[in-house]
Amino acid sequence: MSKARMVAGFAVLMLVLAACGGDDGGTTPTEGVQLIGADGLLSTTFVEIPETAGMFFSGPALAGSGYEEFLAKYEAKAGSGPIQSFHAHAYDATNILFDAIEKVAVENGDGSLTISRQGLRDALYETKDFQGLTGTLTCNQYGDCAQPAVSVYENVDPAESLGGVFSNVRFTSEPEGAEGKTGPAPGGQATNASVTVAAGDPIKIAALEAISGAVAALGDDQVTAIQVAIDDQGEIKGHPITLQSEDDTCGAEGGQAGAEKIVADKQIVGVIGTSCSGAQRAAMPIFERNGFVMVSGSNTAPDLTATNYLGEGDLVVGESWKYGFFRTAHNDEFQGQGAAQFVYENLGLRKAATIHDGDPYTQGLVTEFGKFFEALGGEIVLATSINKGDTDMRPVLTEIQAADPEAIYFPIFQPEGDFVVKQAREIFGS
Amino acid sequence: MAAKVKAVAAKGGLQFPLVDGFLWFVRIGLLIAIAWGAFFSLTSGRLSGQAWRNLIVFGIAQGAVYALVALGYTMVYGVLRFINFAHGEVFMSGAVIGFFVTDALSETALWENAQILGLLLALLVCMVVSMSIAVLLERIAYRPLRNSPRLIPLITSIGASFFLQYTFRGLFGADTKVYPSTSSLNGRVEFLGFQILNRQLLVIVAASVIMISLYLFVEKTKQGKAIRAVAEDQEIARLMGINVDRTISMVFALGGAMAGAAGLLYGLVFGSVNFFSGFLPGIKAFTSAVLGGIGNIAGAMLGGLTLGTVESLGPSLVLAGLNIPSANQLKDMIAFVALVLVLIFRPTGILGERLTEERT
Repeated sequence: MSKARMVAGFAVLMLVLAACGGDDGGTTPTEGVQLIGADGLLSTTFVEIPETAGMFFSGPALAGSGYEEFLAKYEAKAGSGPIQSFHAHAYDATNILFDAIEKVAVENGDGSLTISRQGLRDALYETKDFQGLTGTLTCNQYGDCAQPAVSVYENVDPAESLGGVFSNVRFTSEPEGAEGKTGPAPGGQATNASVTVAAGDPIKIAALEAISGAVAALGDDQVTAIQVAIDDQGEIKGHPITLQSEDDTCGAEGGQAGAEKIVADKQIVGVIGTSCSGAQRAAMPIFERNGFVMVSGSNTAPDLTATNYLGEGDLVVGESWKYGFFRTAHNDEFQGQGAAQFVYENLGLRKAATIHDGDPYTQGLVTEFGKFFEALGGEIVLATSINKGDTDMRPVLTEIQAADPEAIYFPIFQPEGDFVVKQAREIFGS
Repeated sequence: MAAKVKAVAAKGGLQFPLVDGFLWFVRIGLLIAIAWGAFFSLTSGRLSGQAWRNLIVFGIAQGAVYALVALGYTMVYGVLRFINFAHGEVFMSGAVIGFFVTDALSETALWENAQILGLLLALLVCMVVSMSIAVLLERIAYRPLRNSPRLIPLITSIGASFFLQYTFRGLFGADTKVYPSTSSLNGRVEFLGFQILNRQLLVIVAASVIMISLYLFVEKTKQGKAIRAVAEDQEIARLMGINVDRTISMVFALGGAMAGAAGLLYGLVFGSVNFFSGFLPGIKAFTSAVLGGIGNIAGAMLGGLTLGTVESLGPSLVLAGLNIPSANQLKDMIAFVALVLVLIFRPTGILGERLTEERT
């Protein structure tokens, strides 16, 4: 293939494209399309972007109390406010773990503590009516501890911080029949392992969060919240608490590597993590095999615990359910449904397009949203996706514009969300 | 091709050239797939003519950024025969410093009254900072390894890349930095039926000016001649009295300056950057350089533009026509498949590797 031929062929292709399709009188940007994001975008650095004014976000319902004091302690520790929205959930996750350790730890005569791993699992599954920052936590046999509700928030003017958005609740879903719903016992093998903490030694817990890469703010926030929880707790039965922090890189590689590292240290009592559901799927089999418990403040993918909270019949054990995994963050079944209900009933829109980024969390949300939106009577005109790391969203937005939706649900992360929002304003007009 | 087959068959052996046959099969299969996809995309009328034209413009703007960064890769390869993987981070440093400069300027009256002047100032600062980082990198990380086996500086460059990424993260934080709004860049222009956003026009024009200046510098000036001489043969150039060390530093400086400019333009077009922003554009720019012919300046420019347009048009044109769902997610795959194909069918890149001029 000669140079000239290739260049000529390319140029011809360009000309054909430029000429074809006829003229449609220039781009009259479509009438404003409603943009809706999810909790991945509930972040200070996102909501302060001017183009996000008027956007809605589905996210965790903050139903508990004591948030103001926690926020003050958080800011004292980190030097600035939290950026992402799951810091309070990480605090609650750490506290239910401490609560369980306290119940289960046996003080031996010589000042040491014995903590049975199976006992810890059982105690966590029995967590009932625990008052947390995010609401009243009761863990079911699948590991879901959060109240089954989500809220939709509006960013009225570009808010200066996350708190500004959290104060504009537009809708809170109350899934009927979801609370207290049960299903078949998921099974799971008991373990004989236990941890002995010698006299004077600290109780070790580990954090497996995303503290590097593009979503580092998600992990950093949670690690700070865990540290605030440790400070607040002080000691358990006379032993101080120390934290070992590992990186889950928001992906399977980090999840696996971090988990291997943690289980190698048999003194670690429990784990708070992971940040991202993709990392959890790689990490939890390792933890389950070794009898470790893990409580997550931000894993929301439905298949990690149980599904069918909102459908007919009993709960179904999640495909990736593992014995010893708990979460204080909501199950995304509620989020997808809550968002769909909000768009269909509150906003009255009938045609929606969705964008995910390949991450299991975003794919799950988009699937749930589509399912419920269509069940209500709406139409998903285009379900498409981008890659993490993409910056030019204009081609995919051009495709979406061709499909003519009234709303776009894009439950993705930063910085891809930033690009979508800014470029959407260019393509769809204001 | 056909002659080869005949020659082998004529040898009397039963050697059926499997590899050649397979490659022919791939070539034809691809052409059919592309034509099929394109035909269906165009005739289905899913996208209007204006939408196609927009996609082309997006591709060219994106390609212009890749081209600027690719020039750095290609020049360093031409002179030192090694790939500077830290170049993507030099680009990122330009983007992040650009944020700080524009953010600071946005508080001043200059921003409201003479925004273009403010942007030019930011461009200057970004180019200088990136230039310094590139030159320092060369001095500290690469010069001591000048005579080592080629794998060593390569690994060093990967380490330098991580070092720069996490230094920036440590200094400036992991959160996304949003550029202040630039009202002078809103709006669009019409040109031969193409609608070009002012932002994209800025990128295309600025990139073209910079690239043409570089080309003229390398071809027409004395220092440019020195660069070409060092690229051809370092030892002989030294014997001719050329200060090789200084020339190599100049190459890095030029590459760094252009990456810095690309970083600022990238920030202006896309609006937000973070410490990780250099990673994927760096890889894509390297791909563009290889696509166009590594070591070849015009090749880097062409490779960048090609990659940008292929990425932009590929999903909508070919994949959607073949009814592959979520075609835009495969955008990167198309870009890298294009690279692989060019390397199989034309290993020296589109414009050919110009390592040495023809010696008579």
